[in-house]
Amino acid sequence: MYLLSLLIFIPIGTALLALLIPSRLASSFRSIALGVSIVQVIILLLILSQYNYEGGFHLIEKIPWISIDLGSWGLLQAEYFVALDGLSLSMVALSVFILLIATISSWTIEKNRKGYFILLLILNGAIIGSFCALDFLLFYVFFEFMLLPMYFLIGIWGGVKREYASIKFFLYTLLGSILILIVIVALYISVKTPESSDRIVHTFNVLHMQDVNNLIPNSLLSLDSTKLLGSFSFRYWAFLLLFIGFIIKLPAVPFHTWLPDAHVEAPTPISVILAALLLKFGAYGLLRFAYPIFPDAAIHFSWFVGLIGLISIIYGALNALSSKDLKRLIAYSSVSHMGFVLLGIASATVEGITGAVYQMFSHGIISAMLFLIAGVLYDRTGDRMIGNYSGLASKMRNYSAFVLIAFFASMGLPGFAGFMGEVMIFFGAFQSSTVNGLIPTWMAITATLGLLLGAAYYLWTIQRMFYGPFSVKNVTSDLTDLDSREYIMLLPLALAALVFGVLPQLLLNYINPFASEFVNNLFQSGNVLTP
Amino acid sequence: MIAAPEYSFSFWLTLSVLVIPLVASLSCFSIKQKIGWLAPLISSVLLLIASILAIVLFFQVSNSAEVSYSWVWFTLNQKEIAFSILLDSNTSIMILIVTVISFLVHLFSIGYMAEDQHQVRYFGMLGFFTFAMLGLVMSSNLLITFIFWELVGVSSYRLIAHYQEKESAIKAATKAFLLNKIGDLGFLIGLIIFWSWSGTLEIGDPNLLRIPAFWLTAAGVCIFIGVIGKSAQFPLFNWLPDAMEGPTPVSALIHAATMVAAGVFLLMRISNLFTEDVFMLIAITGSITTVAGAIGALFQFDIKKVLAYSTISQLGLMVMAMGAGAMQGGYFHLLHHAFFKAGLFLGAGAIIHAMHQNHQSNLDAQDIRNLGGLRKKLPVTFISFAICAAALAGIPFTSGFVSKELILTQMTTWAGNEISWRWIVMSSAWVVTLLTPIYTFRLIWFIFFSKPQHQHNVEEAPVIMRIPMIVLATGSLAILSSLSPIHISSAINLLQHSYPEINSKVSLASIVIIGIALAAAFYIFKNQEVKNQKLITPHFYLDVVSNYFMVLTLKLSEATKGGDKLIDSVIHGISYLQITFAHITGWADRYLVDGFVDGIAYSAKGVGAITRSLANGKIQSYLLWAMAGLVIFIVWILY
Amino acid sequence: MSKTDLLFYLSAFLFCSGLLIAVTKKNAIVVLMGIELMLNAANLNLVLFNFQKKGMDGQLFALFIIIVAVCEAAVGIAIILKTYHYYHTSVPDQISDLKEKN
Repeated sequence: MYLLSLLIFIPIGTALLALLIPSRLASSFRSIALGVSIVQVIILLLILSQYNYEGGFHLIEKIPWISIDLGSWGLLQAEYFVALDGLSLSMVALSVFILLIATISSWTIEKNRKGYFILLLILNGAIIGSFCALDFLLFYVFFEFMLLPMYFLIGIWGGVKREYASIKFFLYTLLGSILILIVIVALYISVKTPESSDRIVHTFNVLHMQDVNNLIPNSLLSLDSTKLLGSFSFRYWAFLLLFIGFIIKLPAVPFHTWLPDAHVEAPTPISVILAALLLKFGAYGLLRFAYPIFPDAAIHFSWFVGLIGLISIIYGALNALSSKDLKRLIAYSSVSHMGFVLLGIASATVEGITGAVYQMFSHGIISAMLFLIAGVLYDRTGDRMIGNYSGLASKMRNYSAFVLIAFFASMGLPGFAGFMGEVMIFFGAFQSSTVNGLIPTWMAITATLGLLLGAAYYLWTIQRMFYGPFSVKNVTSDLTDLDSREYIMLLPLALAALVFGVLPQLLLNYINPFASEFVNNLFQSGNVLTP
Repeated sequence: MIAAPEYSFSFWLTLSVLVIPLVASLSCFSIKQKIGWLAPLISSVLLLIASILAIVLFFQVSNSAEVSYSWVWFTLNQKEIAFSILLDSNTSIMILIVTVISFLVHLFSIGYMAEDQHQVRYFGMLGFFTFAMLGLVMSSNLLITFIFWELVGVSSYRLIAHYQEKESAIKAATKAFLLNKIGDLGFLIGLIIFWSWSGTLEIGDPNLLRIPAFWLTAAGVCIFIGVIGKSAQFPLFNWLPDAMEGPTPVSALIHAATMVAAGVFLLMRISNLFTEDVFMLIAITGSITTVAGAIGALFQFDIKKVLAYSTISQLGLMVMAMGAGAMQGGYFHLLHHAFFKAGLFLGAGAIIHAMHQNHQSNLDAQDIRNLGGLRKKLPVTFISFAICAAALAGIPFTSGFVSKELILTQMTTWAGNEISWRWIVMSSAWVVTLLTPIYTFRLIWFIFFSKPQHQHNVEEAPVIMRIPMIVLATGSLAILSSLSPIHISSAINLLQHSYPEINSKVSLASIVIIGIALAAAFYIFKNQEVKNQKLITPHFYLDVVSNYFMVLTLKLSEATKGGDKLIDSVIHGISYLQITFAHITGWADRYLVDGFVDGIAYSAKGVGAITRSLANGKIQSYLLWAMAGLVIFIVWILY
Repeated sequence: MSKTDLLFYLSAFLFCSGLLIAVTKKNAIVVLMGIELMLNAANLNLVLFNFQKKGMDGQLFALFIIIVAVCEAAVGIAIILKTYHYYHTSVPDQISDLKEKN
């Protein structure tokens, strides 16, 4: 049925076709983008109806893509290889949903609609493609394809300091990409396909890379390689490079400073996509590539990974507490929440991994809602400073209700999706010391402080902005309550946050098999590898 | 494996009791602002139905054995987490009390909040609170309990901040939520410990006890930290007096009768999980809290704050009783306390309402220095308030006496004959028995008896507000719990508890102490002018500590901001370096590489210019150069 | 110093003054006269060398050169006249068509 390819290439194809439409017909572009998103939702529903809850990969599409004979260097082989498992399905579902919302949210974009929506469509296809790709080269191509539209979307349609923000974003993520690329090349020369008998066939296939038996003996990343660089073997270095490459995307402290700037300057829909989807690639990359390919290194460095997660949780929350800009506050809260994901991954327990994926999903929904909320206010006043508002609840009743829902959902109130993810991560992180001894219990206990700080910064914001006597500085227009378009954006998100908080099994059906397989594989091959 | 529930009559009953308040809440929220007056009616009627169903459920449960239901909620790591309900007599009476008091508070609020603009939100949150509280009581899975535990906290937050334009109310709400959150984190860590070691969170599961002793104690302590937060125990009790910024009926329902008692309820529910050390911690914390709360109540001028501190004190008493193993006494006192404290708060509400009707807005209607002599003007309020206060003070023939006596008896037995730390804990119970009548008397005296401070034209509250007060006052009489006024053994044994023999010495001693306290209080306050009393806010320096932590956190957050600046400056430094390097290479490119190429071109041009200047078009110069060339040629040839 | 040597010096003097006249004088006719002077110096040299060698070929050469010089003077004057006709001047400095135009 090629459903996945349809999902990936419908937006890209549409973007190419839309280039032919003259930019005079500006308003047609947003309808086209919306139409594509709706078609994607339908395809997603078809996929969900075909998907069964068993583990492993489904809807596999595998076509030879590049095949070059390099003579004595062997055969270069890259495939167009896309498939879904529990992890990628939840991410793809999230992407389709968020991209629909983001398209609706882009309705008010006035400046150069043609360019905007075409870039948005390309971004759309690239995001979904990266989540589906199981060929490392294919993943990398999609991954880089995301970067450029994002750069322009921030740099052209952004706020006052947009150039600075977009270049910062670009350089940071480019650095990450380069580190990943180095490892891809190293992996490529160290891995052969299992079919290659006398003649070595190099491959980018991630599944082959995950199998220890496919490592070429005496190659750069092989197990028996005794070459050391500093005090680590090349495998450890490769893991570290991948790790840093992906946590720049995540982002984790200390590689997070691009995020607040990018968010503050990006237009609302782009902030939504950035927070809800692009940040997920950090964690996705760790779960899909870094951990399964280098299980020995992953186990070796888990203490360090957990520590980075913990620091991100606390540091991000503290930074959010001191933020005076609403969007900046939300951005830092993202750093804090993605820290939980890192902690869950570091624990390498079934609970922790399940929680990490759940947290990725819930953070996608909730952060999208938070940025839309910030956007609603910014649309009306052009001002995001928390200190300039007071008592908004009395003027914008429904808006404040949504703010309350979003804030409480984000601070991990039970009944919303965020809580489920966090509590599973805590279960996993605490358990880790007894189950596999990877991260100590004090990390889990200290991480709960993140919840307290989360409550503190959100409640303080509510106290300052929404309660108290009404006053607004620099007001230029009337503060009207939500209009119907904003309802259409916020209501589904709020409902989703609620549904996945009350009925977690809906999502766990997909995540559970993935998580147990992941942990099994990690320790099976991890134990083989570690002496 | 969790068995599928049996869909019996009591199942549907339980479900409808749980869901009806939620329905009430949702229907309130979905009502349009224009027909907001419908909200109180809808929710009150629904709560009435829920109360009736709760009564039926109560008898259903007390007739048959325990009822338990369980649905698999989700599976995590092949272990199931169930939404499970356990109804025994203890639970069902708590359900009954929550629904009935909630209904009465709804009724009272119809009158009290009649002029409020945000009735929809108010009644919606009240219904939601009732739902969450019922869920908390019913659940027998620690995770589900925790979830409702948090939801209760949120509705409390929203209701304290009901007067959302008032700065102090919002601050109080934030403070309440954050201090509660500290406790909640403790609870959460306790949950995590249980899950990690036993893989189950079912309260009745024996696996919960099969974990290492250290972690069992740790989990118990952590869950008790949750109780400290929610039930306003030392050192996290400071939020409760501040929470009085919310509407008075809310204080009655949430901050006196039900939510704050949830912690005590939980202690009883999971008492089998606690180790000796945890019990000791519980008892000591309770004893500190009960004395501190009683002292606090002695020095307040605000009616509601007096009641708040007395709530802290009574909660401390209950917690102490739980810690001392006096489960029945503590739980009994919890139920009684719910009635009389709700009655007291509603009475306070009626007084405030009456004073506000008087339109003396510049007057602080909650300050007992502004009241006085209200006995004749508000007779119904007076009588019901007095009965409830008597129950609080523990005067015979009231419910308070019965349960307090039970606690004292059990504590005396627990303390034993040898002097140990237990005696200190026990003596705090007696100190509170002495102090409670004093502050209760002071309150009654200054509100109803002393000289009127202002010539009010106050009128009794409307009927709809009077009924709940009367009901609650009636409920505070001993007759409902025990036919004999001083002897628990003849209690109507609805709870199917087995009660210990009452030590008649204890009964006698407590009556004597109460008598002495009342006499002393009468003697102290009889001639005292209220105005001359000093206001002491007994924050016990806890606010100072929490403020210190807050400032520390803010400093830290500023520091992280600095940290980000640092990271950014490193990034900027790197990029500046890069740019500088780029400039240098650019310069080199322009001046060295290009310069070399240009130099060759320039030199060629220069040579060309020189040679060209010879061809200046003058024949004579050509001639000259030709000649010179000839000379050079000749010279070259010759030499 | 013999008489022949003196005559050699005379020849060198004639040649140099002829060259000087040809290079420095402004008028083309005077330049032509300078050239004639240089030719005569050459003639003198030829005759003198021939005198030392005791032969006839130097005398013959000088005779030829005198004839050629006559022709040359006739052609040169004709060119000067033509140039004068064309440029309205006979000063070579003012005629710079051979130089590239800037």
